[in-house]
Amino acid sequence: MKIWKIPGCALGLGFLLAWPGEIFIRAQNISVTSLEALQQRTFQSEKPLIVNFWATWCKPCVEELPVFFRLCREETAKMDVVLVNMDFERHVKKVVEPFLIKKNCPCPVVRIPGSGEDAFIRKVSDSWSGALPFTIIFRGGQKIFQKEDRVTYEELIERIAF
Amino acid sequence: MLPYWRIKYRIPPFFLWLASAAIGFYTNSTAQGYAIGDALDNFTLRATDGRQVALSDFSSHRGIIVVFTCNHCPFSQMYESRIIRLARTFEPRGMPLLAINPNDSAQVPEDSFMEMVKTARRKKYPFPYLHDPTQEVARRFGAARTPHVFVARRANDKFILVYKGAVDNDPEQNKGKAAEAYVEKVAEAILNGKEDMPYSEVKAVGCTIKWRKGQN
Repeated sequence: MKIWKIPGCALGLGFLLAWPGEIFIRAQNISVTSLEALQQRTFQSEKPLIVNFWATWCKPCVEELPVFFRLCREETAKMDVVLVNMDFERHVKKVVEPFLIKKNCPCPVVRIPGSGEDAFIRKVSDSWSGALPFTIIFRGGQKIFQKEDRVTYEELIERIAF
Repeated sequence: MLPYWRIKYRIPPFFLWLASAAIGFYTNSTAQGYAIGDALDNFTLRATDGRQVALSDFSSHRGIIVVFTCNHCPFSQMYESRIIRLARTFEPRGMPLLAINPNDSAQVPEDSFMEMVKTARRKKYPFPYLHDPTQEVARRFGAARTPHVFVARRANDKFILVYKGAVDNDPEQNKGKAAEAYVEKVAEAILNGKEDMPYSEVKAVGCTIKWRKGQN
């Protein structure tokens, strides 16, 4: 190996180590939680909690995500927002995480074990058929709004004001 | 300790309960349809082969499987081969399957009648693939997602709903013997003359039905 190549290699290595956060290990953290834990948060909080159930394969879900992104960027003083991802487990690393990075998602994203099953859907809401997207707002542990379709920014702001 | 907003606005617990109940009532009332035990009304829809198909055309059969499905939904696509298999299994035994696409093609061009015709030909559907352009039939059934299955048994001259919900609990087909084939088991129960059904309603994830604007 030519001796003059060593500083070049060191510089290249230094570059890789200096910016890995931006280039290589930037990742969207998707935590695992339970519905009870989500609802529990709202008992003690002054802020309402908006929970949106979505998946990357669901076109209307993807189309309405900017609504939640805007709330996460602009309205965190007034409300909390959580996105519950319903993709298949095997797609989380390959599809969901790259998707969230590409979209620069500012919202917390969680997964709930068993979230596609009958018992889970009934626990969230008796009147939810299981279709996505689905959005629910909790305040003080109570459901104050739910919708099995796309929601708008104005609609959510109006519900929160109530 | 009560949250700040409840102290500030002096909101009693009863009010919260009332608001919650009102939400439940509202969402239930928009998703109502046939309940288990209800008799199905007759309907007539156009199939992809151009025929007009009526529920009453099958009045000599022991039961019927009605599947609300569509072209574009990834979950419907995932279940397509299982729906074909259900039709091939149960139609010769006296229990035909009807597939109905209720989506508004103005919102989802892949679900237009012409695209339905192409899909039915390409996949050689062994069942009538019906178009519900007014969405009247989907509303009457209370269909909410695709795929959404309704199974009815014939009693006297009527079809009585005995099951509504998912095809099975294994969308990815990776549960092996742990999978529950809901529709198959209900259809078998009907054909075996059983009174008690193994399932009556099972929810599952799916795509929302794309209702025509201003009608949902």
